[in-house]
Amino acid sequence: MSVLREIIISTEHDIVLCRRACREIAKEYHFTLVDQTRITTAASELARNIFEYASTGRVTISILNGEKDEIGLQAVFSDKGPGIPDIEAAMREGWTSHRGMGLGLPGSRKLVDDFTIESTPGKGTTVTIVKWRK
Amino acid sequence: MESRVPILKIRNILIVPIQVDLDDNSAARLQHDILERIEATGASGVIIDISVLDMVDSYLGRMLGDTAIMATMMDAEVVLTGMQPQVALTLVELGLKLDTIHTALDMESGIDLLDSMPSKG
Amino acid sequence: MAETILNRRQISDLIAISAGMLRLKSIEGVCQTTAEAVVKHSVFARCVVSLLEPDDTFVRLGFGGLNAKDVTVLRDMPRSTLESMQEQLAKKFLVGRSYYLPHDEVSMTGLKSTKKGKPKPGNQVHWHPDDFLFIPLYNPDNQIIGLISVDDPTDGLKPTEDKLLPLELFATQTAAVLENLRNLERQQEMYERLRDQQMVVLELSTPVIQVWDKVLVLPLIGSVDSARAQQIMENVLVRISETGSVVIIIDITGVPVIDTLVASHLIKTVSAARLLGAKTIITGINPEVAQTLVHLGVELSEISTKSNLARGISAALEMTGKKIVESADK
Repeated sequence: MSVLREIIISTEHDIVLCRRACREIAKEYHFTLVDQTRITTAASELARNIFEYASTGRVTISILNGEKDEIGLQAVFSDKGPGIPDIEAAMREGWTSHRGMGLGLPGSRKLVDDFTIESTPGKGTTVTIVKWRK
Repeated sequence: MESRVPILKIRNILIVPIQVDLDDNSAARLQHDILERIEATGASGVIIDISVLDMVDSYLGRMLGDTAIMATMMDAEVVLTGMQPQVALTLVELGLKLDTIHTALDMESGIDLLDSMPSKG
Repeated sequence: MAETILNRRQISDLIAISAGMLRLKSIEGVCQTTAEAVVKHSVFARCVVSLLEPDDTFVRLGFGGLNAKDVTVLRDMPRSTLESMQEQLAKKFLVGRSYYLPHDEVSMTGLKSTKKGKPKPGNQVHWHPDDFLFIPLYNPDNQIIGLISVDDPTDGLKPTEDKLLPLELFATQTAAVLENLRNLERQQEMYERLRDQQMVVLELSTPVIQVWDKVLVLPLIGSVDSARAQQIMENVLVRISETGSVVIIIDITGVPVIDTLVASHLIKTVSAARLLGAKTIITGINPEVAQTLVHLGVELSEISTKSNLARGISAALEMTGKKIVESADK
């Protein structure tokens, strides 16, 4: 695993920087166009979550080597914000949520291959996503 | 600071070509600008073209969907044009259907669509 | 007595290394570990492990008790062939399951001895610097897949069956691990070939046809699984974008059953197509599919349906301002 980029989230513009970084790296490592879009969109959602709920946090983007030498792009979104009291509820949403609110967590999970979330109320949250190259 | 998105006018239709990756603030400001211009010009149609955007996330999606509803309240219909296929795919996978806004493949079809809609008042 | 004690230690050391070898993932790693183990836990001071390649030559992969220069020399040396080896691995040289080649009965172009010793005439017990010992590695079909060649015994003696037993046991373990790794490699290759073939089939079997200006038809045939559904979805959207179509008809007459996962893919396709300004008409929905869609909570307002393809095309043409009329002249 090699860490390629680290982005500190503290303004709205950092969310844009984060998704640009993900797009660039995914493109550099020859992910399909659709997957580049998925990664970038998921990153945008999760970076925004950091900004909206914790005001500040950090995103670390790395490239992983799988067991059979596949390439994976991993992004870790961590903050020291209020944390999520009920992760299950946060991950549940209806397909008909047409206003798009609260889609960040469950939405990004649908766009990536591996998704883990750890959160302790009062301490912070860390979301790790991985997309494997096809 | 991103520069403001231009809003052009052709006959009674506003054309809004989004050419840059918008941050949340700029998106919110754009919504405000569009609604202001609808009021100022009495336009009955708005084309928002996103053919340059390589990603639309839930925030921008929500902004577009809300803008359409708000515009309708002000007697103007909004047509979203030029979405790239992989963006459409990802939006839908994300869980956003955006069914409150009209859509067309490109600006020309968008204008045709607006023309075909029954005019109000 | 002393020899028995040595053997017990030797055996348990080799067992520990064998167990560890199961975890190795590279063939070269296994050869190297074997060579080093032989040198460390037997009387032999030098060891080379070679494997038989598909072209019937032996490639040297593991080196024990040799310095870097020797290793380079050996790597650059021309490979022995299976044919030439088989000549040397004659029954008369068998000691246990290994082949001991005395210097005076065979000339080798392989390992060159660094010790310059004079042949002791008529010596039955001592190892000569130009003697060689090969412990073959066999696959389950009893064919040679490699060789462990050893040299320079520190006790200076010719090998006996008893002395070689622990090494031969170790060799069978090495052979087993190598066979396993080779099988895994083959499986991986087959898997990848199969997957490539599948991709081709997938692409061939999801043709989107343009039946009219701005009208596309996608006839789905056979069973659709999630992977295919995903592929179809991407394909459809790209084609809509390319052709500027405003209607796409997805005909599922030929699809007997769809599971909820595929049904939701279908519904997502409808939504995504709409985002590109195209309307989707689904035709040929049978009772099972109708039930699946309703149970999924699909609202009729979300999808447009027609009972068969002909009706679907007719509706599509109407939408694009055209219709089919019978021609005046017959």
